[in-house]
Amino acid sequence: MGTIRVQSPGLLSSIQDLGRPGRSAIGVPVGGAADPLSLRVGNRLLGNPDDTAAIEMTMVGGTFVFDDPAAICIVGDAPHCMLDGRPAPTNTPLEVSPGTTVSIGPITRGVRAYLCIMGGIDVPVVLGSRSTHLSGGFGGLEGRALRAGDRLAFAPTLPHTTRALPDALRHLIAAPPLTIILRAVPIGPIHEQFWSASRTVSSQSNRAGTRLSCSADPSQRGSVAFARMITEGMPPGAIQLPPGGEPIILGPDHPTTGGYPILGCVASVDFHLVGRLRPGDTVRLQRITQREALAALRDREHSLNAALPPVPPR
Amino acid sequence: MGLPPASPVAPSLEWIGDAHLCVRLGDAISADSHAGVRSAHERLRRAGIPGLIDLTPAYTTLLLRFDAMTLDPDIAAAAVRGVLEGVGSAPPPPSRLVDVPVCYDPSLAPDLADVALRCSLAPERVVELHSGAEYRVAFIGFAPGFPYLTGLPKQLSVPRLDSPRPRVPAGSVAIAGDQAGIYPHATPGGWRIVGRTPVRLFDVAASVPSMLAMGDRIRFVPISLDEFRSRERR
Repeated sequence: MGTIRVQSPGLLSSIQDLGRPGRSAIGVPVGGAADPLSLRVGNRLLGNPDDTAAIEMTMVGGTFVFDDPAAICIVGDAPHCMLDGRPAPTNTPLEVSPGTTVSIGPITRGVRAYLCIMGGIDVPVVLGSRSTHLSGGFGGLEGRALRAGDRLAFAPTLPHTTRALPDALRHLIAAPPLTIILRAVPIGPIHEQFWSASRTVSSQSNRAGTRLSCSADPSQRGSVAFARMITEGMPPGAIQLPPGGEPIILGPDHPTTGGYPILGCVASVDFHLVGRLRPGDTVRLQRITQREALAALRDREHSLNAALPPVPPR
Repeated sequence: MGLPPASPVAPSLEWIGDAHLCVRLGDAISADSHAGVRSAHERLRRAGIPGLIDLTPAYTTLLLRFDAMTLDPDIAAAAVRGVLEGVGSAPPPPSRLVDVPVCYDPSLAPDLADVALRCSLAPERVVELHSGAEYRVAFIGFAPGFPYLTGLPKQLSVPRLDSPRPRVPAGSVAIAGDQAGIYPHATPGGWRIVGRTPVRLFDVAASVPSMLAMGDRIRFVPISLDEFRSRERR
């Protein structure tokens, strides 16, 4: 077992894997990494199975001291990332010797970064996952965000093989542009104004949902008036429209049920982009059909698997 | 709250996004739609439909999540229709009766006086009505272990708070409109709080993490502040 000490947690850091699907009937959402694609790529570069637990950081990354040798990969746009004060590349496996301080620094594009570790962070599996459910207070490290002074165990796997990021996959984890297009499948009648509006990501966003603010110009608002409906099950990626007219895209820790109308749902192939939306970014929705959405997901997964095959679970 | 035998309902299916299928078993909150959702949930949970990975029951609907990588929407919808044929004609599965202790002391019931005023009732009468009714867990939703309860006496219908509280203490027993519920964890919340239970509704270490389940019948049993404190420490 290796140990990592948390010197500074950054703005909001928590342990996440790919979550705990299958428990909605007791009110437990899937949870897991808000940007599952970045987590999976980071894990594959280290020879980890996709579902291996890592540290998810938000806006500002943390500083971590490694007491034991490790192989790590920082996925995300963290240009000031340092190993013992020396600039270190992201999206690349790095060897870390005992006593090394890894400092991630600000995340400048997108909003999250992942510190993946060969072998994964070793916290207890709770309801099938190591992911932290912050509002429920379970999973991860004591069900909470990381704090300065925390110690995390990791399980190094030796011998190991790491790989460089194939060029063909660079676009999958590249820093997102200032205007992000989310492909979404409409639900019910199409309201052109709603679908054509440009919206800004609000700072009132978290792992439960990303709130989109209306433009100041009322003609650009694209709001649609609806009555409240009977509470029903909500999928992650659902685009809810509360009476205020500011849509909320449900994230991994979303309430499992809700009573606001939903006008569409972000396609599975683009769900990870929701986890990259940074307050102030511009979002546009692009309508696609269910079949197009499924085909796009399969194409993406085919290229991912061809360039960087998945690692079987140990 | 005795449920009349459910009449058969023909479920309607609608895809939500690329991988979720919403099964609708009624248009209004009723004993029939509840029984339909319960039996549909039971059947689908056991049916072993390939790629079906999650089920979210609610008042009138059941949301099904499929593995998007292997999903063929037509085949999945046909399989669901097949499993649900005649659903609602069978009597719903038997249900448990669960007593939930509640302390209605004003120190734990910040909205009790206000609810009494709004309903033109004495606070003691609000407690009598609230603890005298039998509720049913329509489903567990919103947050881990949160029960949506039907059966609130009509006299206690009050609107939600204008702006939600930033933090509702764990165990808060709350009402809003014709709904009743219990907050298992400290969360923001907009329902009016009329009491608090010392019982832990959600415990990840337990073999069954959610104390309550869809279909349970619930009675609130008033307890004193002393009893609340002693049970809370346990």
